[in-house]
Amino acid sequence: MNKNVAEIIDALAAHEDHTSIDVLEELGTNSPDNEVREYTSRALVRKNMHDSLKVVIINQGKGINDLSPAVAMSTINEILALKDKSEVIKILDDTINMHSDETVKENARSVKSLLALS
Amino acid sequence: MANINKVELNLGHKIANPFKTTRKSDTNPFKYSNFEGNTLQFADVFEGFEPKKINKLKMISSSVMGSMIKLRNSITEPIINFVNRIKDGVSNIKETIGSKTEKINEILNYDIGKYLSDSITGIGKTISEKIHFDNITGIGKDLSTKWTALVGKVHNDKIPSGLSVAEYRDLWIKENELIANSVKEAA
Repeated sequence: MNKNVAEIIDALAAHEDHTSIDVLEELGTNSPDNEVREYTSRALVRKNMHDSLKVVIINQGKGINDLSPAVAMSTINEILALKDKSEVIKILDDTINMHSDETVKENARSVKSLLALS
Repeated sequence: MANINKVELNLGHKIANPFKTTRKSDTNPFKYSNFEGNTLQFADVFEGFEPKKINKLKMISSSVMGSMIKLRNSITEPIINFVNRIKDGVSNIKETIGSKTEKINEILNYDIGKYLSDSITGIGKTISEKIHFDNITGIGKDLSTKWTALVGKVHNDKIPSGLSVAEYRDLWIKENELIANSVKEAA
């Protein structure tokens, strides 16, 4: 992955402005590059905010639902590494209960199971 | 006393005019000319005027001496002038070389690197001030972003911190364009 892109993602992950999440979603999780998608998903998880966690949990083809197993597994590992898991559990519960897509629900359920076991 | 008497005796005689001559010859061309009673004897006019014998050696030596004096006067002066001119010229050259050497030393001692550095710093300061002004007015925000990215690239090829989200977004888009171009070129 391009070094400058990684630095931009890091800077946006550390940015206090909430619009940084939109940029990470727009340019990071939609990138054709697997490494960029993986790095962005981990950055969004590290932010540990409602909006950033939503991006990697409830969206089809992004974060834990990415078609690339490497991206999905990296995002799950980052979620498991969070110290404060309260927000992510809340979103996972909402996704399991309310999301329209069954695949997304299934993935959320699996992650929640992993969290319970960790 | 005897001498005085003798003089008086002599004075008492009528002194004959030495130029008054009487010629009875008919061949005298000045016979009827009026010279107030005095006529010159033709033959006597050129008496005692024998042509002198000229010493040729003396003439030559005089001529040589004259020529030498003339030469000395005509040549020595220009030589002196020439020497003086040369002397003045050398002095001028020394002065010119001295002044030139000082200027060369000034140039050599001048810190060109410092001059360039100062100039670049001045230009950068001016641009930074302009960008700052534009930021305040909100006109040159895009220019500011580009400039900041460019400065970051030039200095350490690092993404600068403290930018706005929009600026990071622009940088990211530009990076994606660069990557796409490089992929195309490689292909």
